[in-house]
Amino acid sequence: MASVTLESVSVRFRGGAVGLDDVDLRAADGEFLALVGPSGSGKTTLLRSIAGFLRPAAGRIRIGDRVVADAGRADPPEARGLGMVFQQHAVWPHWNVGRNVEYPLRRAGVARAERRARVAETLELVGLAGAERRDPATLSGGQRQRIALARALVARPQVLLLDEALSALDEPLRDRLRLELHTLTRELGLTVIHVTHDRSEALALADRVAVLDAGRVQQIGAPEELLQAPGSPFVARFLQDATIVDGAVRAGTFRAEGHPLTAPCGPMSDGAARLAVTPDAVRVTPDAEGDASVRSALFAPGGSDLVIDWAGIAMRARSADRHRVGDRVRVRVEGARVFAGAAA
Amino acid sequence: MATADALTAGPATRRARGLPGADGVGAVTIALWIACGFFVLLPIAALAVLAGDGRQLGVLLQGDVVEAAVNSAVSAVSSALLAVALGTAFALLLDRTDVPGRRGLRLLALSPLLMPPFVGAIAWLGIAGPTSPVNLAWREAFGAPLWSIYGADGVILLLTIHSYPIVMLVVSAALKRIPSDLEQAARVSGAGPVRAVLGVTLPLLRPALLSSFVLVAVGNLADFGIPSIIGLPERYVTLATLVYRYLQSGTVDEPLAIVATIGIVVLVVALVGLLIDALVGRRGWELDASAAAPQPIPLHGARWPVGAAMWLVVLILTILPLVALLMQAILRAPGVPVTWENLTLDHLRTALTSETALTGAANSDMLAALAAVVCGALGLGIGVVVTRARSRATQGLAAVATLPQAVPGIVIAVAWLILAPRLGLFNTPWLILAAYVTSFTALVVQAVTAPLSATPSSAEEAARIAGAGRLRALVDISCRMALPAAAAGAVLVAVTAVRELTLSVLLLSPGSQTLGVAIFSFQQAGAFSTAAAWSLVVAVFGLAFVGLVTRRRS
Amino acid sequence: MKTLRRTLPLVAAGLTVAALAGCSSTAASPESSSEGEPSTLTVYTSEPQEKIDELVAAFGEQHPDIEVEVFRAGTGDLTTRIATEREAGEIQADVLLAADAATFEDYAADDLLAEYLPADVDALNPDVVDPEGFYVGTRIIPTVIAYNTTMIEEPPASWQDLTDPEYADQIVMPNPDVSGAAAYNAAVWATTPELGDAWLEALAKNAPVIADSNGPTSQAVATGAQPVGIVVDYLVRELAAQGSPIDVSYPSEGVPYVSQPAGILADTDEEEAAQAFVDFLVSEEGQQIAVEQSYLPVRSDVGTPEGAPSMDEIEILSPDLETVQGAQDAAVETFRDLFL
Repeated sequence: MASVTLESVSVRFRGGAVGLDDVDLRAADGEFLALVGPSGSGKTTLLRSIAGFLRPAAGRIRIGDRVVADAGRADPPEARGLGMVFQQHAVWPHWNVGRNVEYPLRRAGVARAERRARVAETLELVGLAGAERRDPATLSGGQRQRIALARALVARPQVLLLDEALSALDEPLRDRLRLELHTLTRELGLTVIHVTHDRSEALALADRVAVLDAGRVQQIGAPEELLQAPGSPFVARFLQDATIVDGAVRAGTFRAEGHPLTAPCGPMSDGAARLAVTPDAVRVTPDAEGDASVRSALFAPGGSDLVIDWAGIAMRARSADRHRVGDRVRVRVEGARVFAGAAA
Repeated sequence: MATADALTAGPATRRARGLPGADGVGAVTIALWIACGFFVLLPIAALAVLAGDGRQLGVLLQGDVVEAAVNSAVSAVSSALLAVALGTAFALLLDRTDVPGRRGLRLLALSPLLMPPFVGAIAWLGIAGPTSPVNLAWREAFGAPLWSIYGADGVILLLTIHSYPIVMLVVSAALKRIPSDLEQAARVSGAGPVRAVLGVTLPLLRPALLSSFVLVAVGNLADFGIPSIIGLPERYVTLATLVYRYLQSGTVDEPLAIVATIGIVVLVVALVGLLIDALVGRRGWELDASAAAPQPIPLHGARWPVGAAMWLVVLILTILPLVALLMQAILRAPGVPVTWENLTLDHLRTALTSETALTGAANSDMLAALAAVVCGALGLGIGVVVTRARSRATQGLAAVATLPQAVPGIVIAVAWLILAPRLGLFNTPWLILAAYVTSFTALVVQAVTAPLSATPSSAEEAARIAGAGRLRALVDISCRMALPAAAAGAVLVAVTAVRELTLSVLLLSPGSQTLGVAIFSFQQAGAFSTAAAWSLVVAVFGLAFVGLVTRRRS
Repeated sequence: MKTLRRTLPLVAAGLTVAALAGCSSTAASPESSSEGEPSTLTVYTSEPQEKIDELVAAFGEQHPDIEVEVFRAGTGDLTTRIATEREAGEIQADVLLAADAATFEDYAADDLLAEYLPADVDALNPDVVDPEGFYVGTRIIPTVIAYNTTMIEEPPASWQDLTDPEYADQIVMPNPDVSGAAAYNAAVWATTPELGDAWLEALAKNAPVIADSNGPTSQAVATGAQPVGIVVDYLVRELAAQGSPIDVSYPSEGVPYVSQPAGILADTDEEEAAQAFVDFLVSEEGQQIAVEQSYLPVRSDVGTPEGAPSMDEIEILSPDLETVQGAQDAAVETFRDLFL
């Protein structure tokens, strides 16, 4: 088990596109770190750089104390002692389960008897005891993903990398596998870096979550921290579907631009600012003379998810009641964060 | 899941590889380039060098060569057009309508693919040659034969018969990729079934029609057996038979230089054809795959008549030649009427025990088997390296390996003929083997790249993470995964090589005849019944082989 | 996938077996051998395939230690191959058995042949033995007029008859570029005073079909495709014996004949084996096989084929060999211009 450290890592693609822009990141030994972000944000790039499939143009990557990549040289993937599970499991169809799982041990030169024992042990760990002779084509998607996991774990890697490992599975299966993954990796004390586009999954599983956008880490912290104290409008919007409103701060109050919304913001200097309103912070009451109307109302357990059209701004809200499209309502905002600076 | 105490013992030791694994892959790539260079680039270069200073271009403008070139062009293009028409009609009828007996028809209709073209020529001589029963009877009654197959019309007919199955295959594959939703949308909008097919499907098939046209035209341009057997008796000379004559009978000075020049010109023409295909045909449409199987168009009242007509045509094209071969092989003597007393198995017996033919068959088997192994290995290597280890170095490799498909067989044979003395291959069977490897590696490369390009790269990446170097990952994963496809390609190579004629007739040497050449020589020497007997054997074996393979698959 | 895994070794095994089988049965190693070891003799011949196979089989019984490899092609094709091999450095043939003496004279003049007179030379017809000893004839093969008996009632009786317009589009003859006999005949016709180039031109007006060699020619006549043909006599006899409606007409001016000589190439590594083969060809047994194959023999003690006249009964066109040899190239050229 080891920590993973990235120091000022930049990755450029052929053609000049920026993959990672001066990223600093540290996953502590035994920590479950989730990477989330929109498509193209660089989370997979980051993971693949740690794995060794991409070389950083600048910066340094360390696994434990060992430098595995810097501007001068980079260890190839096979020399980094990692385990990795891919989105399309990559269970090899031309070998049976046992040979799939024992492959890392063969590469490491482990003797046959010990290989067999460890494969059996690992398969039991993932809940597929005795499946050594099965043909992967006869297994379900979830079972194949467990095989891939077993293969990643059998050589006792320092770090486990998960590249959207659950994204190809359907929902109930994902849910179950998510739990098993969490339990197993905590039991083993593995350092896990988990890339996912599912933010609720990230928030649920991880010790810390890193939010990436455009190749940079926007914020990294424990899930509660990210929800309660988002560091930027982007994080608030990405993790919680907050509505961002542009405006200005004057004398301790935020006034929205061309809109009746105001909010107190504590000690802040005057100037352009943006307000992030999470759906939970929006109170909606039906009022035939309200100045807002319901644009869409989707059922959700415990109420409804609404999009309210309030004087030109589309605001997301949660309500405990059912509403109909077109209903006129009154809106009140309770608690919002103000961020200095204009929209980028 | 069980507890994991035992697993906390620490990571397995991995031998840290100091050198990047790319060296292994680089070395393999270089080796593959050397092989490709030797088998593909060297012969073409030899051809270019010999034709190089264009001295012989003047010869090309002489009457003989021009006439042969015109004949080649006309026969290739006409037969390609007819083959496309026939093949497309068959494909549409078999895949999109409810003609009765579709499965049997499909198998039968594809069977000319299994007969080498020159065997088909020999068979059709027995149906429509000047001495066939039909023509002889007609001559008795009317004083002149009904239709003699010799000459341009016969050559075009036979080329068509032997190439329409290729069109069928290409068009069928393209039809499968056209979702039936498009036709159904037309039907819902009010078009009748035939209209929907003609108006919607046919235009979408245009790229497939064009590529099959080019494929067939280039292939027919190079055919030797059919023009030789059917065209020469009426002095209908094509470039392939002209080259053969020049090389065999020394009717011109410096035959090699002249033939090399002809070869380069033919090569250029073929490449131009492929270029046109690439530019015009590749502009395909993006079609979302539809999961629904297309509804067959009911033919209603026309079902049985159309079915009967199709069955009749297909039987004439496929079974009748076999019967004709049988007749030729068991008739007691030429010119006697076909009655029970005049049938004998003696000729058959002598033919099948003929030393030369048996040696030829053994030779063909050996060369085909060796070619299959070499092409299989080479093709597997190239396919894997090109699809799974993309780099600037590998980019041209697949293109070079498949280039010979565009080169007519005679050109490849002439190129190797030129190289032979300089490489010490002259008069050895290994010359034919080299020509086979040049011509057929492309088959394996194509068989392998198709499944490999569809596999995600995570297959090798998982191996890399598990401790395998780049080359190791390629060998363990990609090569192993592609092995069945490579084996299928190798079998295809063996089957093609065992029955080919064009390459071996120019490259043969004493003691290394192939079966194709043996049959051809029998025909040329007038031993028609022997030629027919062996042709029958080849045809039957081909059919049996495919019957076996398709039975296993279904 | 399992089935594929199982069939793969089968396929590999099958291919290996095929390769090995092919390798062993063709053993095409032209290495020369020393005394006592099995040797391989390479024979280039224009004999029809089945006939040479029979000869080789019979020879093999007498000489089991000599393996004979036969390369069969028309005489024209053989000479081209020899020319190509000469250029490339080495002629592969040990023995040449081809149609006409003129070809052999050319080779003898170029010092390509080895002198050898077979053991039985005294029993042979002296006309066919080269006085300088470079080659010896093995069969007498006259070229005659053949006709289809069901289609022609009155056969042409002379070469001159063939120029009659009633035979337009009805004649078939072999190609001198391929058939040695045809090349020789072209020269003989060109140099025979009654015929010559004038006769060739008149014949060309009847547009005869030019088949590659004598085999297809005889087949065409037998099946009636072209009911009249100029072809070697033994083929007609064979087909008639099998029941085909074909018969011979001996032209009144006389028939040219070739003697299918056998010669040993000077470069050969297998001198002894080659000599044994030539001996066999003109031995009693070899000539008996020839008679069974419907050839006229070159010995008088083995009889003649059924239905064949003896040499004295027919007119022979037997011009001076040197004249013919000198005229052959020009005659073939004329033929090509007129007929092809």
